[in-house]
Amino acid sequence: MKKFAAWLLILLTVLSLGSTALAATPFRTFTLGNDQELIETQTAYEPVRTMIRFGDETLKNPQDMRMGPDGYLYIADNGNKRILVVDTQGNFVREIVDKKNIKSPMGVFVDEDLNVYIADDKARAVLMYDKDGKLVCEYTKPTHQLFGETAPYVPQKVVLDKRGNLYIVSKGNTNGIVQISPVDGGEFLGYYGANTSRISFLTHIRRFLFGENSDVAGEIVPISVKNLAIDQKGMVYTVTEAGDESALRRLNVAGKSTITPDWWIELNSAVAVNSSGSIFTANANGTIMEYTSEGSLLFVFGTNDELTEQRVGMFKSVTGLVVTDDYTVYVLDANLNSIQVLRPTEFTDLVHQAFTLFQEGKYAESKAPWLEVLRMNSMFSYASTGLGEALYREGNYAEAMENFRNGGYRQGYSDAWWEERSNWLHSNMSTIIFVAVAVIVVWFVLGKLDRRFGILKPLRVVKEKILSIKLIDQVLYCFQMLKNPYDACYGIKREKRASYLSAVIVLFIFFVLYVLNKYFAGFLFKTMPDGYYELLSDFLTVFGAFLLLTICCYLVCTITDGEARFRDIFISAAYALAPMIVFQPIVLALSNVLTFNEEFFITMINVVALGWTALLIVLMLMYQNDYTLKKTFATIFMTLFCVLVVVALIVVLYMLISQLVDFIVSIYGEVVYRFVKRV
Amino acid sequence: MSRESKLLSLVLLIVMLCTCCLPVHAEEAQSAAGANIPEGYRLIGENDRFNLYIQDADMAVAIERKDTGDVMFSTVQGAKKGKGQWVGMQQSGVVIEYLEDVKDKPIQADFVNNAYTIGYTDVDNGTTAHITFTDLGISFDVTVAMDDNGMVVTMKEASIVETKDETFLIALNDAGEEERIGLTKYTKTTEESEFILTTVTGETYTLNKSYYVSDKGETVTVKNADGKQQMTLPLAEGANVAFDVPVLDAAQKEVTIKPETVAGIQKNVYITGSGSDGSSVRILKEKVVLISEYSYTISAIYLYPFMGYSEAGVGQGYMIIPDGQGAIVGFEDNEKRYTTPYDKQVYGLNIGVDNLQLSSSRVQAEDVLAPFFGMVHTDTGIAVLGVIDEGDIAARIIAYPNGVRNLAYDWVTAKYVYRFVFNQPMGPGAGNVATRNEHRRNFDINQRFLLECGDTASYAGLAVAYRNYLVESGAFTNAEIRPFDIQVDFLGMERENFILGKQDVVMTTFEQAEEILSELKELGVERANVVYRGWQTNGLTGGVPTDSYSPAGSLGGKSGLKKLRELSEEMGFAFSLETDVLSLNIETHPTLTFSAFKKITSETWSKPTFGKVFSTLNYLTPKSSRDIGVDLVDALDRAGFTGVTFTGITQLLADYYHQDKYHDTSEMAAYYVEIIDAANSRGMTVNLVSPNAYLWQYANVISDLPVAGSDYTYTDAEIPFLTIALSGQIPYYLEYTNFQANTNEFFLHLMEQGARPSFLLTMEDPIKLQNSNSANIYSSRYDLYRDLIVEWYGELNALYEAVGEDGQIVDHVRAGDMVCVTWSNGTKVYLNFGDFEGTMDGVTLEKLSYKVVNGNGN
Repeated sequence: MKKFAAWLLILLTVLSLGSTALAATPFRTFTLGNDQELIETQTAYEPVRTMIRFGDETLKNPQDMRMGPDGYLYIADNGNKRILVVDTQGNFVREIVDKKNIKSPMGVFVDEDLNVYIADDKARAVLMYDKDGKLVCEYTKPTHQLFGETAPYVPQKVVLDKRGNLYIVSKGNTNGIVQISPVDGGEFLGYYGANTSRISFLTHIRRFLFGENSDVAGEIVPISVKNLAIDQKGMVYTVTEAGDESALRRLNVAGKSTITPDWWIELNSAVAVNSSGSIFTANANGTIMEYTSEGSLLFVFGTNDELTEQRVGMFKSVTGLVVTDDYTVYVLDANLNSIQVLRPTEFTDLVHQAFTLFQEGKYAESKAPWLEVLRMNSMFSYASTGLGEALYREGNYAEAMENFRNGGYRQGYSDAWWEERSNWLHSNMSTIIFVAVAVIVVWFVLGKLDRRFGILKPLRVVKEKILSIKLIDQVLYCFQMLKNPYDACYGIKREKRASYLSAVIVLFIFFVLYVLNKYFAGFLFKTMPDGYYELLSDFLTVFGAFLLLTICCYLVCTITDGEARFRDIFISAAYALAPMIVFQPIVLALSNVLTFNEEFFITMINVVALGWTALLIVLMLMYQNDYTLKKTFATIFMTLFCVLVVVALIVVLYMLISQLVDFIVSIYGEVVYRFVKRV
Repeated sequence: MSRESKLLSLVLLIVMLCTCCLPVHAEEAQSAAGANIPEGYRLIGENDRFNLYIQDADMAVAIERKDTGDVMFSTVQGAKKGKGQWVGMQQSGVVIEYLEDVKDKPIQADFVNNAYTIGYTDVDNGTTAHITFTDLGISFDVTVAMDDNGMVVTMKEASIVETKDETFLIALNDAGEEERIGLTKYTKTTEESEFILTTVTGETYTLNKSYYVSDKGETVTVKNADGKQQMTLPLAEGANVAFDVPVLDAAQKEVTIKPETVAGIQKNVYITGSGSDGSSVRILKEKVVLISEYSYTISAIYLYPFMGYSEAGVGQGYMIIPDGQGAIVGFEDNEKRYTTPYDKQVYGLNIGVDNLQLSSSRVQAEDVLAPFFGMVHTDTGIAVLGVIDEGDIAARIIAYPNGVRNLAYDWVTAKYVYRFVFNQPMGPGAGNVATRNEHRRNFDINQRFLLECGDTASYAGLAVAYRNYLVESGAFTNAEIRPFDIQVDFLGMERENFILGKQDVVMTTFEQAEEILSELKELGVERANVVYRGWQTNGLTGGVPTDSYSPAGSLGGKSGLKKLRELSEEMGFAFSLETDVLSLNIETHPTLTFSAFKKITSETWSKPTFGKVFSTLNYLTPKSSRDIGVDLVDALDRAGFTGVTFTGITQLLADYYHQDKYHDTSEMAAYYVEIIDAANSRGMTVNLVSPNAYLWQYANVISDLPVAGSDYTYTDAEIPFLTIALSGQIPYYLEYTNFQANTNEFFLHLMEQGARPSFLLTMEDPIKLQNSNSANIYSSRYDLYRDLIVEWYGELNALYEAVGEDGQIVDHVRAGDMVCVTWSNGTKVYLNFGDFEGTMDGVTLEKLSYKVVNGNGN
């Protein structure tokens, strides 16, 4: 899941030197990469023309556009107070003008009989005209109790389902989409598909502190629908301006969303869907997104004409979107008063072709187009996944795994790995048994020979020699923590069985294992994206956090009558990491051989290791300070609070210093400007 | 036959001969010549097709077709009279922009809104105008002449005189009116504060600059050399306050200067200087006394901005703008639907001055690769192509489709910028101050207007004329004529982050490249232009600048590269290494930190790479580029390389700041030429990547030409103007095939333009690059491109065989989605870019297909 805040950042990461995009399209096209970040791809849709004049007619602040069953475009030409009907080549067909009733057309819809519905926000009504342009019906504010007396009725957009029910987006009405049955001139059926309000953690705190009705608590209203569309099956698609998953929803009869988009941006203003189920949304600034029928992002394209360059494919204020079955995209712009036409490129046609086959379950047939897509773009993750599925079904698990990995599809990878591993085990079982037996035999024979002739004696001497090195002995003493924590603590405190150096070495071993686990875990269990290494930050995290915690803990202990010296806390805390040191290599090894089916083992080991470490720390604090259990926990909480205070202090100091630096730099700049020789 | 009859016959014969031949033609020609020329124009030059007339009052010119008498004007005819910026632009042959004192916005000056004088001196087939904007004190000479190809307008930088350097006296005459009494040279004497003024009549005055008069409110303040106030005198209506300040004349004799006042008007504070001969002159203080603080300087100049203009809805034809390969903008009435003009710096953004405005989702508009612009009038059959011969390094091309800024005309012009305004940052978060450069860029202007008429009055005709001009001007002196080949670029390696430091991402080793080339040869690819990229230690992004000949060990080292080079040459493939001596990766080249390119604001310039490994890149100063580049060329030569590919320096031209000095684009260009010339002088084959036109003369081959433009709303069509101009003169390769979304359409463009394709190849799958700085290379795997390369090679090679080795495109006609390209040997290539079957000249083509018809119609 990606949030809007990350949108620019993510986009920036994919831009590279000497961009390879053609300038013919003024925008870049992106798709979701295997790590769910946007990556650049071939131009998916290329602008072909801009329609500004329709015969002698032009648009003025158009607000909505639909395609009728007759193949014409119906435009809510708000500034000219009419519905303009044009063909897809930009020729004028007709207009619906009604000076008396049409005041501010914001939304338009055309039904099978070519009746035109106009959502008029100033007239506060949805107006229905027949195909001859005659006013048939006017749907004004429902009088039904459930509508609510104070609920606003300012129609913005309208669609109609097969039964003739109207779905009306009313400005400012947060109860949901107004659903009206055409029976008896409009019967209010209820609200439909309301968005739920989301309350942030901070709002929760504010409401807790200041009361629910306080001004400070902030108003909690669900975000309203900005635009909507309906498909042939009667599913209603809505978009909102919110930067969350409500940005795009597909509502079932019960008004519940049946898709969750895997990527979104703010300020969505239009949505369209074609007979293949492909969903297109546009945001007001001109970013257009194509989703699959499952809500997976396929392409992001289009850009804002922020420098007023006037290039085809740049937008200023998108208000309407129409997509035909052959994927021709018509984009209505209220600021440019134009309709721009985009059509899919050869590459996109190929992607659609493969997708269609894939969605129909024709995996084998989809292989060829997926391969061609991959030829054109090796990083196109949907193609890798699609090809992986085809290969998986062919029983080619090794290649399927590779493709699933390229596509970032972990479940598929897990399944393929399961099969591949089973096959491997199956074909190598005899070898495995042979090797196992051989090892046991060798072990047994060696033991016997050793007992009789002492052949391993030299090794034992070497081992003892190594263990007699004091530092090594000190380091290995950490495992005493596992056996008998109290003994270990006693040894650290009283017998000098460990030193600062040995503690640092133990900490370093922990750090190395932590890093290995972070960057070299198996693909299925790795949390870091490939190619990202943040070793410095890891180092600071491990050592910084350890130091901060031990210092704070020591400080707290000194004021809570603890007996521990700093040395005791530092070394014991480091040695308390022993369970992690033991279990992390096991986790690392398992992560490279297990599938999601056996994920439980890894989770369990992690829980045990963490729990054990936590327990050791509690015991260590109790023993070293001679605390009661209650006092130990109190000390832990105080330590955490102390850490919080120190961190806050550091942040404040940092801000102050950076402001001071800025100030000095500004003065320097001023001085340089005053005295530097002008060019 | 009687004698009378014979005599009569003879007379009749003579009369017939006389009437049939000479007199009638002479009269017709006479009536055609000048018939459409308005009064006030005089003939100053001609060639075999056109006459050139000039109107002395405003330097407007008229170009007349000799055969039909049709005329093309340089200023708007019959336009509304009046003043104003746009009227001035429409009605003046020459328009300038100037900067005034501390105001940092250029102001327009022209022959409508400003006081001026023009004197003419006729030259061979033309005239030289001596122009002075009298109220600005800016003067310069412009020569307009005719040659065989069209009109040539020249202006020498040395002819520019500005108030700053030379001034004049504005004095009051006996009637009390302001009067310019002539240019006066002012020279600083050895004494910092002294000036000697010389009037045109030879009188000299010595003014001590430090004694100047300023007025605030109703007083006059006199200050001494230290800027210390000497005295303050009250001003009153009618008062004639005089006081003495010591001023020395040329003979070191003290003279008297008296300030005077005229009722309440601050401007009219004068200093009266007494000359050595006793004469006196009253000088307006703004013009002389405060001379060092108040001056006009030239900022930019337009030469015939409205040449060949068209009025909205009246004329028929189109403009040509240098977007991508070239684009045309029709003359039809746009009804004001466009708001901004086309306005681009020639040779790309001047990064030393302007900010690179990057956007994550926007593709930068195409740069102007070659300085041309044109107007084609299909109704009168006159076409003109503006070509910048000199001054290109400081020019912008500006085109106004009708309706932009409410102007009812289509016009396109070049603007030459001598000084510019830029933003000087004051520090982080402290904002910017608009500043102008004091330094005047040093360049002459030579702007040609190539003229075509009749059948050749089209973009294709102009492209051919442009080619002829380029040939004449020596743009292809180094060009190599080689049979058809394709460009194969290999990507050697990149770098990616690893647990400690970075590791190589090897994409194609030298040995693998050998395998690929051998296989291609076996499959029938006879010739190729092989370029190796990312061959150096640290790879493509980490290894810039390529400051030494150090092939990466992980690719096979020097021995591997040598083997590859030798094998390529054995197979008859041209082989070169890509060198970038512009980009600077400070992380891998910390010793070059102080050689980083600085903007004229003295800030170090850098750009984000948006990559995962190296976050920013810098550029080298041109001098460092030169030093490194020349050494590298030398090293490559010694290592046995016979070819080199330059990138980076071929696409940049900027002003910059180096060693506490401002340097202009001409200096940068000179350094870059030196690098490339070093390769030329060693006899190496030079391949320039997407080069700016001023470098063409140093190139043997040109690569990475754009296939498309920026798709401006106002452009009606993109035309292969550049490739028509280059065809048959120099081998040119289009941008990579890899990243085209419409592969079939792209192939048709190759066919249409007679261009050679290029491919970026790697042995490994480019998914390996996803964590490197080259993550944008998403398609390059050789085995996936092999068949396409072989197929395209075959088809394009067949085209080249049909048109001949030195074939040139002579015509290009577009009708809807159908295109017909005619080559010099008569071969025609028909192409259908549409989604449906199409027919042209009786040739029917399936969608997205082509057909080659040779001169015999087969």
